[in-house]
Amino acid sequence: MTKTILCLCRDVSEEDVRRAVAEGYDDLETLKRFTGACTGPCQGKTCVEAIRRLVAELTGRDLADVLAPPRRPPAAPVRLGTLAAVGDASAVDDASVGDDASTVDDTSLGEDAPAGEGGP
Amino acid sequence: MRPRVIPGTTTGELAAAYDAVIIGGGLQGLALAYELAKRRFGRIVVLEAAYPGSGGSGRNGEMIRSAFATDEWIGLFDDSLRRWQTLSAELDFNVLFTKAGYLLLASTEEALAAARRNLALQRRRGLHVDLLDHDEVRRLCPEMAPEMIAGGIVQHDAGFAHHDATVWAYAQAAARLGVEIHPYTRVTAIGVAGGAVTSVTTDRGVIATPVVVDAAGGQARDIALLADVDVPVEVFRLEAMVTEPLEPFLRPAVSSPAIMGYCHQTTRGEFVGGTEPDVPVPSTSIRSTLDGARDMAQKFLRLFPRLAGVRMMRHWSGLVTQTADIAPVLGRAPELEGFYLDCGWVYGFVGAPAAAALMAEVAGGTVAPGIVDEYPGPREPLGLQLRTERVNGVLGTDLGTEEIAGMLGRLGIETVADGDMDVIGRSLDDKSWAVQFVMDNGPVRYYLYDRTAKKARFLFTNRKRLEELTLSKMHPISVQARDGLNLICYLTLPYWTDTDDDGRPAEPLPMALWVHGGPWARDSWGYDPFHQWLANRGYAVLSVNYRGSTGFGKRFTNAGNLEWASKMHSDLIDAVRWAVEHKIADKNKVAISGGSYGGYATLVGLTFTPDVFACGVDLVGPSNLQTLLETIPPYWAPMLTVFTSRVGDHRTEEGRQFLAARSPLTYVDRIKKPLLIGQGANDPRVKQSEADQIVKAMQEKNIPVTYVLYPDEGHGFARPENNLSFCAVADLFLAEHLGGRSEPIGTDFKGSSITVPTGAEQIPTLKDALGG
Repeated sequence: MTKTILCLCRDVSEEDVRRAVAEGYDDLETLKRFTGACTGPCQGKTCVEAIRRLVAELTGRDLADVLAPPRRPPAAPVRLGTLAAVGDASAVDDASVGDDASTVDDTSLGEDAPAGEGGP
Repeated sequence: MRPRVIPGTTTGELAAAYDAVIIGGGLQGLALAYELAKRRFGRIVVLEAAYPGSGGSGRNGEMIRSAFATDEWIGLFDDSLRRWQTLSAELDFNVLFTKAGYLLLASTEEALAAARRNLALQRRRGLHVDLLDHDEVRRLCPEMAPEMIAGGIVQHDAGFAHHDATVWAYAQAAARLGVEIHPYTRVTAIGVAGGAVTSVTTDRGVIATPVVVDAAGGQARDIALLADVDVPVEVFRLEAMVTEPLEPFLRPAVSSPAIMGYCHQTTRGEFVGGTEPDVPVPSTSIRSTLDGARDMAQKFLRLFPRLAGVRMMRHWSGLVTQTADIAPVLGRAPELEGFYLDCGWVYGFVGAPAAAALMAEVAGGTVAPGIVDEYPGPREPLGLQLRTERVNGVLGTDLGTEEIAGMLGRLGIETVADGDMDVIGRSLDDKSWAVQFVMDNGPVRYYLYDRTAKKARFLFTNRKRLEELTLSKMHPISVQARDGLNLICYLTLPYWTDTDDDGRPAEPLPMALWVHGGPWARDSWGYDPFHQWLANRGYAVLSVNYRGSTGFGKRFTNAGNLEWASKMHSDLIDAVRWAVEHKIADKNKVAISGGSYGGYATLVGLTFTPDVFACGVDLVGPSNLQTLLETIPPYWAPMLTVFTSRVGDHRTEEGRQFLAARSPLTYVDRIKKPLLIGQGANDPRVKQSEADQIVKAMQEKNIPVTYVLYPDEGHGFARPENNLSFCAVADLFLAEHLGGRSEPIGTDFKGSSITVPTGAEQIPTLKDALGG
């Protein structure tokens, strides 16, 4: 028997997604929370598009109506030791945190993110 | 077809009418829907603007406990905790309630003392709690930084659960009982007629209903305003984070007031937690901030240094609508029939199961609401007490100001005492208040105040034996320091020298200057056993809130920064000069005394100003600021920068020179007046070596000193027998050098562990009393 893994971080398979959607978790926000897909170290960068397509196919909705969850910062995982030293210029050695960053933008991933949702 | 979003939702259209509309598909709204349906309330709909659990319900720290500090809170949250124990079974859905225990960490001795007080109440209420010491907390949390641990309370049958699973569990259980749940349905208006709700308008049509529940979390205030109901809440943003998964290293949920943070390790291994900034951020935005991420990283690294190399995967924000007393708002809005509030939550995740059941009873009108009455909607601060010289009145919003003024005697109500008043309890109908008056010359007096009749009835005092004694009044006075700073001081005179209560004796008296510890604390008006004892001996007693004291604003506290043995000391000298000038004190008979910082001030008094004082009594005072800072207890490590910025920095050469220049030990040879030192051998803050080293230095220079040491005491004298024995010695010491009255030692050493390693012969009869 073959098994297709969609979310490599969390070992979420195509079958897991099919079963979750059949149960009723057919919104990517809740599908993510129920299956754990998109919640690993890559935060969905690898799998979210594949999952969107599968959900669109399973529910018969337009791909444009199947929204990816808004992205939450940081853009890439950051060591707490690095974060704790932000603002202490001599100690910042992680390229993912700019010296001049004052706020981490929590804008949504796609143009089609739900209106009015600041982003979880 | 509309997406289902989660199991249990309705994909069809809204009906034209329901028996109840719940606004907000978070945990509160869904749990309430379930509890109402269980009671066959009728046709119920839950309206959710986004996906169920999209607000605070899916953004909280998901921690669960009932170990709080008041009866009201324990009542509500322990009811909830009992429901959590069986929630998965009741809802037929695993909410992953993990009974791993909940640790309320105490990082300071003060926090531990508060925990001990809370423990007594929690035990009385039957909570499964234990007080842990430093070692026990370390065994429970081996990865926690030892310097953050003074002790803590652990609640064994508490812990955490999965917040999303809890939302889904309630949603499906409610749906099975016929509740309709409509996600992505936004409420735009609430219809009101004749003082009652009639309808709710959504972006998908209008529905008629006689009952509306506002369970809209971060949007609860806006929703209530649609019905012209003003809920007294403010909206704040909180931030939280999760790391990559780790091997299990932390079993219980942990809350740490010292870092304003809370955290746990999930069953998947992720470390999840949030911290709050010192000053809450009023905001309705859920944009996460870099400041928030850095705050969490810095604080969690203080708690768990091993996390430095661990990566934060995700970081988010949520909103809390918070009341002034951070308790929720539960019940019907008094101004609008059919409109119910279930909002204002800060501990909403743990509280939801009980609140839902209670609110279902309230909305159903089936039973007396009971505990819900503790959380009424219109709950604004009634007043504000200011404490400068005295508790001077109450600045109220509307209620209470005039009555309280009346109770203070200004409206001619004569039944009430001349003390500082506090309202300590109020009946549910607010017609009766329990009131206490703190007195200076007697015990605290308690009254029952009838607000209708405006009459106070005396109940009892807190120390009956003090009632029979003639004690002295305490006079608040204001002294100007040499640079113009205003110092609030308290003066007590022997009652027979102050019969007209004007705070001036017939002729100048010997005086004891009693200096408070801290120094970041203050003296206040009221009964003070040291003042009363010394006044009884015939001394004027003066306490000074010198600069650096707290309670007079930040500027006053910060005016003491790096002013140890400098302006903080000259404030004391200025107060003594004031007392001499006003013919209160005999210039040649002024003693300086005090504990902790007050002990240091005593040593400074005899070294920096060797001619001002006739003698000194130093209790657990540091003699060398450098060694003091080098030996602070581990649990003070979080306060280190407070010490280095306010006292001096022992980590730099320049700082060490500064500290030496401000240390009495450096100037031992200047001591020319008698000195009595009291010390506890187990003092964790001011080590015994602080007393030892100055005694040794004085002996080397052949300067007399009396050193009293207790092998079983710490920072001050806790055992009454020890306290009494030291007072007996000090009594004789002061009588010898100031000329006041004293009592023979008699049996005052009985049961005490007093030792006098040095100088017993300096104090009359002491040697004999020890020998016997």
